[in-house]
This record gives sequence, structure tokens and C-alpha cells, in this order.
Amino acid sequence: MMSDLTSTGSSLDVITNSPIFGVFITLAAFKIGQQCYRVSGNNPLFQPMIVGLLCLVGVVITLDLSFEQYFSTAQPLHLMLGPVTVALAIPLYENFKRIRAMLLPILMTIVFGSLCTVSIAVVIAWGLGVSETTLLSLTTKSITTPIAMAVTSQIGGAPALAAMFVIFTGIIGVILGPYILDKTKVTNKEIRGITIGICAHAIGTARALEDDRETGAFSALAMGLTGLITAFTLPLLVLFVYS
Amino acid sequence: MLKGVLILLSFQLAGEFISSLLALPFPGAVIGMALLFLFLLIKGSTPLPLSTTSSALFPYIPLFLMPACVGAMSYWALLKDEWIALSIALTVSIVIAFFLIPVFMRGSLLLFGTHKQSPSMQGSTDDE
Repeated sequence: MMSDLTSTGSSLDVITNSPIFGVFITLAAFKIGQQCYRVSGNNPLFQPMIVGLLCLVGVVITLDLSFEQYFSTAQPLHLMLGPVTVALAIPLYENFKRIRAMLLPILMTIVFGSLCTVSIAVVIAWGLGVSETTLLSLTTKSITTPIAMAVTSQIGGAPALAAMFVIFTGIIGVILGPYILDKTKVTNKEIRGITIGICAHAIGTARALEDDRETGAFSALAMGLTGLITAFTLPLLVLFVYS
Repeated sequence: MLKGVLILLSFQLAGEFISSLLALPFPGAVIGMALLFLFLLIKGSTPLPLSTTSSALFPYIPLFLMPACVGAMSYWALLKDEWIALSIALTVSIVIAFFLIPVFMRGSLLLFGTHKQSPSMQGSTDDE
């Protein structure tokens, strides 16, 4: 009896310790998410990623896995973000003619948009008494995770916090954004794409690509430029404020 | 599919090389994206393997983001009692941005757009 229990225990461990376990539960969670999304009639609250994330966190906590342990076995999926990011050049190129014709307004919107969303967040958080390291980590909330983490450590914030704010921003943006855009009757694909790209970076771009390639291209463009501009200006701005 | 993945990976590796060579704050993939964009501009068309691969990969971007999201969630504990303030700050700033940015962009398109069509003709540019 005793040996039976220990043997089932250890075979379960074999499964959870397997180097493919993270990939397995992530795929399964995403699949469940896709089903829920379909059943809900494409309700934005039931997006595959959001439902999938809830399932995943549930599984990770129930099995008492550490997040590091999960992440190390889900690494292959995470690594795919690299080539996918490179591939965003394709929709960008396909819409280049239209982008070139409106480059100046796009650049202005990106500078205005990222300044406005970041300063509102920082001012509110500061008003609510949030500490300085956390405030600094907030300033990169609108740029895609890898750039955000690099920039945050440069300006003295906490990269881990920055990653979390970026992802939280992306998830909130992807739930509320398209809804607000629909309600305010913004149907122009360029404007929708740029707004989503500034506010919800990669997560928003993924969602925009789901709608159509054009909106996705503008979202990818805004995401890239927001990252680029922030990465260059933020360290200078912080230096200026603190001098 | 294989050829497309190979092209994407080589651009990413080239990006990583440049990033470390010049000590840039950008990740290799972002530089790789810029390089691929330049390459396509020079080439003048999207090679078929690349468009096949990208169409196959794009629907799965949210899936690829999930491990990082789960990882990020484990940092909530670092926030202690600041998390309510931060959730409010982030949510409010996004909602305001989604109202303001389209208004601003519409205005700047009207003022500075070299676009022939008026940006207020929404959706009409779609059937080119």
C-alpha cells in the first residue's frame, strides 16, 4: 500500500518534471481558451489568452509548481516570440506605401500617445503614494516587454516589475481597447491599429492581427516605434529630471 | 514553412549579433525585424515562404506570450500593498489613452497628412 502511494507520487513527479510539461499545459490551456472564446461568440472577455492564463495559473498553483519551474519547461514557446517579432516586418512592409504617406502624423501621435498614457499612469500612482522604484518601472509600461526590461534597468527601476506592468497594460488594453474604439466609432484601420499598438503593444498587436492584417500592420508599426522612441528618450528624460 | 522559419531565425541571429556588437538596448528580434523590413524594401516583394510562415505563426502570438505572462504574475507579490494603486493607475491611463489617441491622430492626419483622401472617409481606403 505504502509503496503503491509513493510509486504513484513519483510517476506524477515524472510527468510534472518532464521538460515538455510546461509546453503541454500551455498548449492545453490555450486550446481550452480557444474553445471558450468560440462558445462565448468571440466575447473579448473570453479571449483565448486570458482564459488560458487563468487555467494555467490554476494548474501551476494546484500542482504546487514554482513559476521558475513552469517557465523553464515552457521555454520553447517563449522562444518563438523572437522569430514572430521578426516576422512583423512582413505586414509592415506590405502596408509601407500607406505608412509613408502619413509618417509625420503617425510619429506625432505616437509621441503624444505614449507621453500621455505614461504620464497619466505615473501621476495617478504618485498621487496614491507609490514608491519611487515602482514609479520608475511604470514609465516603460507601454513598450514591448524585452525593450521595457532593458530600459528599466538602465533608469533604475525594477525589470521584473516593468515586465509585469507591460503585460498588465497589454491585457487591460486588449480587453477594453477594441470595445472603446467600437463605442467611439473609430473604424479607420490606421487609427485603430496605431492606438492599439501604442497602448497594448505585442498583446494588442496579436489581437489586431486576428481582426485583419492591415490593422495588425499599423499596430506593429506603433509598437515598434513606441519602443524605439521610448528607449532613446526615456533614459535622457530621467537623467534630466534627476539632475 | 521550414524555409520561412530559417529566414526569420537568421534575421533574428543577425539582429542579436548587431545588438551585442554595438551594445544597443534593443533585443536582437527587434533589430532583426528592422533588418527584414529593409531587406523586403530592397527586394520589392515578399518571398512566398515568408508569407506562408508568417500567416501560419501570427494566430499563435498570444500562445507564445503566455509563459512570460505567467512569469510576470509571480511578481505581484513584490508589490505588497501598492497593487491596488497600480491597477487603478494602469487601467485609468489606458482608458483615457484609448479615447484621446484616435482624436489626436485624426487631427494630425487632417493637418499634416500627405494622404490624398481625407481621413474622415473612414473605411473607404480599404478597397484599394
